[in-house]
Amino acid sequence: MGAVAETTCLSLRGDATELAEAVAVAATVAPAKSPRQVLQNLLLEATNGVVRVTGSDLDLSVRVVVGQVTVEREGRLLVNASRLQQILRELAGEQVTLEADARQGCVITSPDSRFHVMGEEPDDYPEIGDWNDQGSFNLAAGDLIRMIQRTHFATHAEKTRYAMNGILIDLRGQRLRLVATDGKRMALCERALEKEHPEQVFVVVPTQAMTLLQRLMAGEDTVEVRVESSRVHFRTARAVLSARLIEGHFPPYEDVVPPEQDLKVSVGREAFIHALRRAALLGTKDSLAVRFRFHDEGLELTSRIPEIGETRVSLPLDYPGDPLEIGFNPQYFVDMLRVVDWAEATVELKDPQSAAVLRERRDDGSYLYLVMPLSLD
Amino acid sequence: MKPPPRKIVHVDMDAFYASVEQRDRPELRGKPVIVGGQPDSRGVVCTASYEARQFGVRSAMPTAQAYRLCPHGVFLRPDFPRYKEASRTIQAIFREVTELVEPLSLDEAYLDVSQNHLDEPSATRVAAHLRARIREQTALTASAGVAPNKFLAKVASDLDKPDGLTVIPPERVPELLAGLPVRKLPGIGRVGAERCARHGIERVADFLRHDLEQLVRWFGSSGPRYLELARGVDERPVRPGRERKSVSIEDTFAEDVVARAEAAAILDTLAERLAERLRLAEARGRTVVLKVKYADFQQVTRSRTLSAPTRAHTTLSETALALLDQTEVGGRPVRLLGIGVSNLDEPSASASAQLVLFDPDPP
Repeated sequence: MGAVAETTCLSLRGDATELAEAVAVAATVAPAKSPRQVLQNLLLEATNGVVRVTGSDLDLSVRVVVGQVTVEREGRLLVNASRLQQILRELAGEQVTLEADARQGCVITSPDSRFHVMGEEPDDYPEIGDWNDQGSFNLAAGDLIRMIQRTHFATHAEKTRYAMNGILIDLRGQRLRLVATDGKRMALCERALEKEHPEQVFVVVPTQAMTLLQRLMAGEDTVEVRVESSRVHFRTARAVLSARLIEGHFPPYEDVVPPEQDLKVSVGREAFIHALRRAALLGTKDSLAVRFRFHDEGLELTSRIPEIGETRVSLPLDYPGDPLEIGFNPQYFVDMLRVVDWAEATVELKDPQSAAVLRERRDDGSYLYLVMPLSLD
Repeated sequence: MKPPPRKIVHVDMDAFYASVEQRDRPELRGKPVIVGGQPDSRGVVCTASYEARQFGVRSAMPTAQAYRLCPHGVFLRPDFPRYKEASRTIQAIFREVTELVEPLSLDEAYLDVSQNHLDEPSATRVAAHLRARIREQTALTASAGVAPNKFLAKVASDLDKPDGLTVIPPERVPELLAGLPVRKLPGIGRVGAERCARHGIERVADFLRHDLEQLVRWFGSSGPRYLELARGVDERPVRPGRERKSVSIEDTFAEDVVARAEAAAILDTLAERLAERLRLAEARGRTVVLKVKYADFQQVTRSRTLSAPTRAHTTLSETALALLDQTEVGGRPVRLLGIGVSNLDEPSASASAQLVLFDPDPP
C-alpha cells in the first residue's frame, strides 16, 4: 500500500478556471457510459512540475496540459470526469487546491467549500502512449482550423458503406486537402504548403476528433502531425490528441468535381441565409425540399409540406439565364454559408440534375462546395 | 332521439388510368388499353379500359395473362404524374361540396353530403352535380352511388358502371342485398367467401337466416359485423384526410402450410405483390411487418425497421424471410401469411428524391 499511496499523493494549487478548461476538453472524450467503467474517469498527472489531464474512449484520446497551476506534490489521480467537471465549473474564478487523499479520493478545496470525491486506482487506466516524434510533420494551425471549419459539417453522421463519417486528409506534394461529404453535398478545402511533403497521406479522421483538434489549436502557431497505419496523432504546445482512423473507402471525390459552369448567380450571403432559413421554416430537418425558381427578377423559394403548409420567399437578384427550377435542401447551403466570411456568394448552376457549386479561389488555396439537388416531380 | 339518416356518396372514376390515357391520346379511344406492367414482365394490370374488359382483362391480373387474353391490346406503363394531376382536380371538386371527403385512392372517395356547401338537401342532386363537374373539368366519367352509409354507397356506385348514378333508398335495401354475393361485403375475400359457402351462405341475405350465436361460432368476432352489414347497417363515419399508415398484403390458404420452404415461396410472391402495391401508392416503407396466423388462429407479427424506406421486392422478400426465423413456421401449421410495410414516407417526399454524388457501392 505504501507504494500506491506515494504515487497518489498529488497536490495542486491554482485558479479553478485553468483546471476547469483542461478538464472540460478531456471530458468531451470520456464516455458518460461505457462497459469499461474506468474510461468514465479522467487521469490527472503531475510530473516534473507539469499537470496533465487525460480523457479517452480508446478510439479517441486527448491529453491536455493545465497552465498556471502550482504543483505542490507530484502524483496521479483517477476521478470521475463529469463530477470533476461540474465541481470545477462551479468554482471558476476561485483559488482552489486539489489533492489526492491516501485512499485515492480527490479533495477539492476553495475558500468556502470542500468536496471529497471517491477516486479510482490510476494504474487501472489504459496506457495512452506518449508522443513520438518519428515521422512527424508540421502544419500551420490557423490554416488547419479554417479548413476544418469549412468541411466538418458536411460529413455523414453515421457509418455508411463509404467512409464518410470523418474528414479526409489528402496530403500530396505541396498541397493539403481536407474533404468531407455525406454523399449529398461535399466540401473540399485546399491549401498550398510552403514546402514539399515527402510522403503521401490519405486518411479519414473521425469528425469528432477533427472538431476537437480545431478547439485545441486555438491560439497556436503550428500543429505536429504523425500518421500511423491505424491512428493519427496531433500535438500542439498544450495538448496531444490521438484518434483511430476510419477504415474503408473514401468516395472518389475528385471524380465529382465539375468544371466551372457558365451559369452563375451572385447573391449577398446574409440575404441568402435569411431567405433560406425562412423557406425552411415549415420543414423538418430530415425532409426538407425547397423549390428554387430562378427567373428574370430573381430567385423565388417555395416549399410545400403536406398537411402542414406552404412558404414562399422572394430574393431579388440578377439572374442571367433561362428560367430554371431546381430542388434543394436549403440547410445544405446554410451550413456552408455561415462558416465563410464572404460578402457575396456565387452559385454555379447547370441543370436540375447537377450539383450547385460554390467556389473560392485564392493564391494560397481554394474552397469548393457542392450541393446535389432534389428531384422535384 | 334517433339521428336523421346520413347522406353518403361514393364516387368512383371509370377505368381511371386507362381513361386518362384515352382522353390524352385520341388514337387510343375505342381500343383495349391496359395500364400496368409490360406483357413480358412479371407485373400486374393496374387498370383495363372497358374495351379490354370485354376480353376478360381485369385489374390486379398478371400482365402476362392479360396479354394472352388480349394480345392486340395497347399495353402502357402507368404515368402517375398525369393521373395525380387529374386526381387533384377531382379532389378539389369534392371539396367544393364538402370537407367530409375520405379518399380511398387517386380515383375513389366517400363524401358525407348530409350537410353541404351547395345547401342542396337532395344527395342525388349533389351526386349528379359532382359527376357533371368532373366531366366538365376533366373530360372523364365517374360513377356514383348514393345511400345512407359507406357500404351501401359503394355497392350502389358499382351497380351502374360506367358513367352511372345509383341511389339506394331505404326501402330497396333488403331486395338489393338479397341478391348480392357475399364477396361484395367489406372484409370478405376469396377465402372468406369459401368459408361462407361451406355454411351455405352465398348471398348477403343468407346471413339473415342464422342467429348471431351461430354466426359467431362460424366467423368469430366478424359474425356480428356480417349480420349488421347484411341488414344494411354500417356506422363507419366518413373520415376526412385519412392518411394511409401502412400497406400490406396477406393470403389465407385453403390448406394449412407446414413446410418452411413453401411458406418462404409464398412470402416471396407476397413480397412481389406488395412491391407492386407500393409502386401504385407511390409509397415506400421503413418498417417491414410479417404476419403469421397459425392453424389454431393464434396470430403473431414480427417486424424489422430498415435504415431506409423501401419498396424493392428483394428487400421486402429478404426481410420477411429473416423475420420468418423468429416464428414457429416450419414446425407449426400456418393458415395465413402476410407482409406489410409501415412507417411510410409521404409520396411527395419520395417524389422529391435527393440526388447523390457517388454511386452507392464502394469498390
